[in-house]
Amino acid sequence: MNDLRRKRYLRPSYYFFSILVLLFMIACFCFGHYVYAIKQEPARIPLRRAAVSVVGSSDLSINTAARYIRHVSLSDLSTPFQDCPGCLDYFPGAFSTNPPEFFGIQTVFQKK
Amino acid sequence: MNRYLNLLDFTIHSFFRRKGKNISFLLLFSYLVFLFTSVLLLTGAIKKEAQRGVNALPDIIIQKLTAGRQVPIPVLYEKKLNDIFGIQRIEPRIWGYYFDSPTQANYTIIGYDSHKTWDKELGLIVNPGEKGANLEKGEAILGVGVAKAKHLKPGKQFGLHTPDFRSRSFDVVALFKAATNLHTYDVILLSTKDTRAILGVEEGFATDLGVYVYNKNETTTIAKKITKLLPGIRVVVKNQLARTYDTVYSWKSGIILLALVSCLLAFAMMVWDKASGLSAEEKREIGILKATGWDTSDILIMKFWEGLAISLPSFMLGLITSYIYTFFLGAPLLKHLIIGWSVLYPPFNITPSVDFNQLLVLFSLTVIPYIISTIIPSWKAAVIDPDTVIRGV
Repeated sequence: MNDLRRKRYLRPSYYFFSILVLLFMIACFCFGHYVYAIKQEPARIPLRRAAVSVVGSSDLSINTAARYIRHVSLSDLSTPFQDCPGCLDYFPGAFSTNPPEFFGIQTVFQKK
Repeated sequence: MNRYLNLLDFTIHSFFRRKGKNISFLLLFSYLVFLFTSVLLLTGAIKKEAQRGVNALPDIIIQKLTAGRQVPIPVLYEKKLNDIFGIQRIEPRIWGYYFDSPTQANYTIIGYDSHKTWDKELGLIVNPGEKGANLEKGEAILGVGVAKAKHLKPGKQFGLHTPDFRSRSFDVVALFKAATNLHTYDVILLSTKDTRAILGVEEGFATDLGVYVYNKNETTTIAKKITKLLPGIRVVVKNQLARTYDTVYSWKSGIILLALVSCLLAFAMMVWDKASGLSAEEKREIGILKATGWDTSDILIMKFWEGLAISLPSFMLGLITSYIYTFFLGAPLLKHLIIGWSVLYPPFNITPSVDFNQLLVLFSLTVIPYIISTIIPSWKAAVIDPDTVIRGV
């Protein structure tokens, strides 16, 4: 009887399910961390709002290698080569694309 | 139930008979999921972080362009805009960049006017907080990155040069709180007059104008009126900024994912190779099982377990490691690939953002094809006469 019970507990499928349960528990822990972080977010809003209103831009200060990539949303298309003629591109920080066209608004004045 | 468990036991024994091949496949599968998920999680979180700040911005930003380049905008434009109905207030903003050669870093200098109502929240974001909303001539508030790079703290002095190479000295009165690093790490906040002197912006001009409107639904109409009224200007609307973040970071992640497509193609080829036929050994195994009394359905269930036993733990392992790598370890290497390098690099601690739809797509592109590729060739082999399969005819 004891041998039978031991055999049942040593079934490979139980190990497989144990690994799955372990992975699922770690995934739940990550999900818990995600939910906790999202719930903490409202507490950070006043601080972020104040910082953005004082600094005047919501661009993140993660691109400071060159002047023209610091404010990705307000950058000038001609700025990259203002540092020096034909200067090297600050790749990959500068690796970006044009902002999308805003429908219905002429972004530059044009005489009709 | 016991029948399914028995079949799973058999599958696992069979898995360990080819453990070298299966374990390497499991690790490869996890690595593939890890790579794709890490890029998606990191760019999603950065995008979200940038977009969260957009609400506190002016509704419309007006910049002046001359010969295709941004130039200081006359503050007089403010008066021209006063006739437009719906504008709450217009704020001339003075800001710009300063390259500090001793530290080889670029700083962002921002002019701060103590009399503006929108600046009253300054006390919230500086240490010591009692500084409140006052910033006198000759005083400066620094971002943590600037203070670290120049070895400064409140009470100390530092110098900046004007465009005509005159040196100006400033007292550090406070530092921005570390919690605002993502917006203030490279910022030097000076009084408006000092900012004009350091950046060389003459009186009567500003870097740009921030326009606030009463009714946010009218922003587009007001922006159109502004473009018609003022010559040679660029108008940037708040929701355009949010879309810019989306475009910029999606573009970056898209290019990186494009580079990773080769991995996905290699994986697809392996799956295709698996789906196009079984090895002679595997066919013989199925033949023997059929000859010893196994049904076709038993073989299909066994193969389903085999597919699931490799793909599901691999997917979960890839997903978990990418979450830990991105949000607990701060995505080393990948972070530099997406953001770039800088002298001032803020500690990276962003709020997780997970797009479950993207994860579902990744699941559908990896786990489901793998299980199908395991079942189909086995089904083909299982319906053939066992004797033919064993003989290998």
